[in-house]
Amino acid sequence: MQQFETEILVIGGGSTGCGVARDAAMRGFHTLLIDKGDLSYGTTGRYHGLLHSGGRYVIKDSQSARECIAENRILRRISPDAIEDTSGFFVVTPADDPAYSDKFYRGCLDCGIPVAEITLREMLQREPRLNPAISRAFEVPDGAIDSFKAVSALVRSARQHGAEVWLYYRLVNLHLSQGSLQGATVENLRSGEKIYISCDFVINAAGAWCGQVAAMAKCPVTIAMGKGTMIAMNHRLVNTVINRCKLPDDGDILVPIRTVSVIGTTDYRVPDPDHYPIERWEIELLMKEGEHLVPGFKQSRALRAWAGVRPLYQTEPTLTDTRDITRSYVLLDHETRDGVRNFLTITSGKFTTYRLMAQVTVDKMCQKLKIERPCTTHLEALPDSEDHHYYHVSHRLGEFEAAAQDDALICECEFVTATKLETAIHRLRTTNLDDLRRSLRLAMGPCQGGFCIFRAAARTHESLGFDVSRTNQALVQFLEERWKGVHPILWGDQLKQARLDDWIYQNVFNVSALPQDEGSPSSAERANQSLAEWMPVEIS
Amino acid sequence: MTSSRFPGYDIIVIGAGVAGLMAGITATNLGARTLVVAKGVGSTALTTGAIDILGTQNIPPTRSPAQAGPISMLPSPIRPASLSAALQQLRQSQPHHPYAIISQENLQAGIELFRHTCAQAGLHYTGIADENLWLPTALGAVRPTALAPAAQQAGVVDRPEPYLIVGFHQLKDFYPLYLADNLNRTSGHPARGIYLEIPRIAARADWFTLYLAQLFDDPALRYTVAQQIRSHLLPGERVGFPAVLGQQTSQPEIPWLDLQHLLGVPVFEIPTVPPSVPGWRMFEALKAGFRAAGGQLLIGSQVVESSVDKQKVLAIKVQTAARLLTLEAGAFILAAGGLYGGGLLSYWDGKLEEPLFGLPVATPGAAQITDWHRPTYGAAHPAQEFGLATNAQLQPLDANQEPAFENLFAAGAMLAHWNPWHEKSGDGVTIATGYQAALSATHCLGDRV
Repeated sequence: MQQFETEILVIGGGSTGCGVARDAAMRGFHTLLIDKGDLSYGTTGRYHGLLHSGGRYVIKDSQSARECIAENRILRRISPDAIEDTSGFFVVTPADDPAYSDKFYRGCLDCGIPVAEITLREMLQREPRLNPAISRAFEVPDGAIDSFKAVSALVRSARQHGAEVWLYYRLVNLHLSQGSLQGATVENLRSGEKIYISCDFVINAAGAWCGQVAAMAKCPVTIAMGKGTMIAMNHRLVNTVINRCKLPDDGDILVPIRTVSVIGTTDYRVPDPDHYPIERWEIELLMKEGEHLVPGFKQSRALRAWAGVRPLYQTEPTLTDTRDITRSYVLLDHETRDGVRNFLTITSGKFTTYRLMAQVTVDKMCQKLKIERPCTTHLEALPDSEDHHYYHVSHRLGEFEAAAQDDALICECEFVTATKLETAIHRLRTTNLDDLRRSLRLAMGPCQGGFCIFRAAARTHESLGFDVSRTNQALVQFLEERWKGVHPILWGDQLKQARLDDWIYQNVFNVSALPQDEGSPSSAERANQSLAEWMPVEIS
Repeated sequence: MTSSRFPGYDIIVIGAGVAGLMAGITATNLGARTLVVAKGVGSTALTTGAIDILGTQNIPPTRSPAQAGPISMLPSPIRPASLSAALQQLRQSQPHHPYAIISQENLQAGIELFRHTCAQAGLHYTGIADENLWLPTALGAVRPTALAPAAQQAGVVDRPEPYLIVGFHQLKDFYPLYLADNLNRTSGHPARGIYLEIPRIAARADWFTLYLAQLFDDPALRYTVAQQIRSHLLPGERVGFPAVLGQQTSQPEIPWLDLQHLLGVPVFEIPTVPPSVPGWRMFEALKAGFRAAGGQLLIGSQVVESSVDKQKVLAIKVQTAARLLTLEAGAFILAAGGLYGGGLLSYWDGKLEEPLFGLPVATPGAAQITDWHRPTYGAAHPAQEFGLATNAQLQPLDANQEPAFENLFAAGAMLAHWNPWHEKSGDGVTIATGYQAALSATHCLGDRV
């Protein structure tokens, strides 16, 4: 078996793991991060994109609220390229208890969250589609953060500081010797090859899967998985984050992010982090709740529904309502807890606090390794954020217009040009169209890949020269994957879109008759996918 | 808002897709003063331009070359059994299917009228009409169809020539290398692709098929392209192009015939994603045929309301730029499209609606919205078969399964109980039902015509 040596092994390529890898690398540790899928494949890539001001937690969870506002300020400094400075409103609709709003206001002041009540006239001037029956509105510094873009920048920064990031590597086992973690066996999912990694310390940041990882070191960790379903609505119904001014509940937030608005979420406990279908009651609930914020919401076009699972650490295995479990992070010291040395689990928390979670984790590790190296992640801007400019929604359009004469648009909805796509194909060397989607936002707009995804598949084929049946498989797999998010919301305009896509793929192309017989890639193809080649593409 | 009355028509057809135009042509030929009114240009420009009658379902034996392996290894003859036999079987197994409602004679008569109309406009359809042709798709799969435009004919997989597929760097919707790699497997013939530059236009900017087709109307450009191809062409090859060979409507086959002449080998077009040039040519041919027969066409005006009594539709109201027109007729044919085309509407809470006459929408196989679509991509989804239920005269039925109005008929994608995606029956059903609806409507007019 091939051997690999590192100081720190981080498991999990979501925001937490990538944050930890960057932090550790910046403190001079030789760091390796692995994930069994792509970056942001788990919960990080499946949330609504809210950069919390902390306002949502001021009453129920003031510790979370304080952490949020502190990290909100830091992320605006180090990661503005992934942030749209939308601001946020908390609004009292006729369906909400008016008594909560005074408590909310005081809570914000107590937690240090800048808050100002604005007049309803100003609210409607800034967000004309909001419900005119809203009785009060408060402004807080919420924002929208693109988690794909933020994590991609984290990984580039970690690499600049010497970290290695291996994607599509599955953890097979952790190796314990006399109560101490010594290393891990991992499997390259593309080649099937296994590698032994010896390391000084393992940090488990596997999110919804961290109970499974901890179990490999014989540490029982119970994670409650709270499924949250969201719907992306076409266009920007609002340009400000809109929260209902009440205790956090289902369907109470509308986040404008990139070209869409996301209504979220539900919170429903599920047993399995790999399978959690979207249910009709969730769709109905979100559509109805959206109507309280934006009249006519139910007539608006829904593009896609998806769900993510919040990994919530559970001290008491009997709690059933996942909304009552703390949203603050949990750092488990397996030495004091389970008698296993060189092993920490960092879990729960939220995207907004990923940097803080990484800091306390690496602090704890330094303490255990008896090494004093201070955290600097809050001081250095991430790649592409050095100029301290926020992302703006019209950025891609501006960029495309500047170059319009020379480049073809492959994905018209998300302004992905031929040049961008080809750069990504050559750097990723993958036929996996979902990886291209996460890197480029390809196929994330209204047509959900109807017009662009065959172009992308054909270009991967013609650029990389893999066996054609592999390209065909990738194309059909992508269509199948998209369908999961589309079929729960098919009515009205999006149903028309689905029929147009059927028209193209079933009728004009007859995709089901494409050869898909060759099962696995040839060894030459595998060699083409060496891990060193993998590098997230800059998304701008 | 003012209203004005136009002199009445015998028949008003709502919708200008293939079903609506075929109904208009049929009715006009039978002597009825006919108006076709439509909000837009319909879905015709999405189609491949070929006429599918019955492609996959119930054709015994199903011998798609893709499923059965390289075609050269199949015993000869490799053609599927006759279409009429397959249709007969379908009529028995699916008694609500439009093909089960319409007689084989009327199906054939409708298809013949379609062929004749298109031929008058210079657009020739070939095919025996009782067998399927297997033609390459733009991804290199093959698909069955009953009638193909002459310009697509030389692509059939049971011709012997190897394929040379020509694409253009400027066209982002057509990938000749990917296509050829697939076609090599699906047809069993050698297939290779090349890229050319179309002279005179920028290399990478955003060009669509309809614009490129305009360029191919120019003989000088065709000559240059043929020159480029000649240096790549190997002996015995046939040449496949994306379907962009000309957009002119007077003699639509000239650019294709000219390229064939210049290259001296069989040349064919492969239909692309929308906007599809062959679909557009078909639409133009049908419009020309309808006008030549004496019909009136009003496109760009939405029918917004109907005026009815207990038994009859009296008039429709049409929103034009300036005013609301009230148009009366003896009979009406509804061919406004299905859930895709906009003739039927669907809502988030599972409500379905035919907005003009309030006709009930049949939902075979689906009791509630969660049944509309299967979780499996590419499955036959019940929502693909939602539509209006009719009797044998194509009169839409009300909730009591009685004709809703004695002078209202329906055709095309509005009809329930058929699935163009899975049956590959798209324009066979639209042509046949457009034809049948016009026969029934004319019959209902009685002495008026």
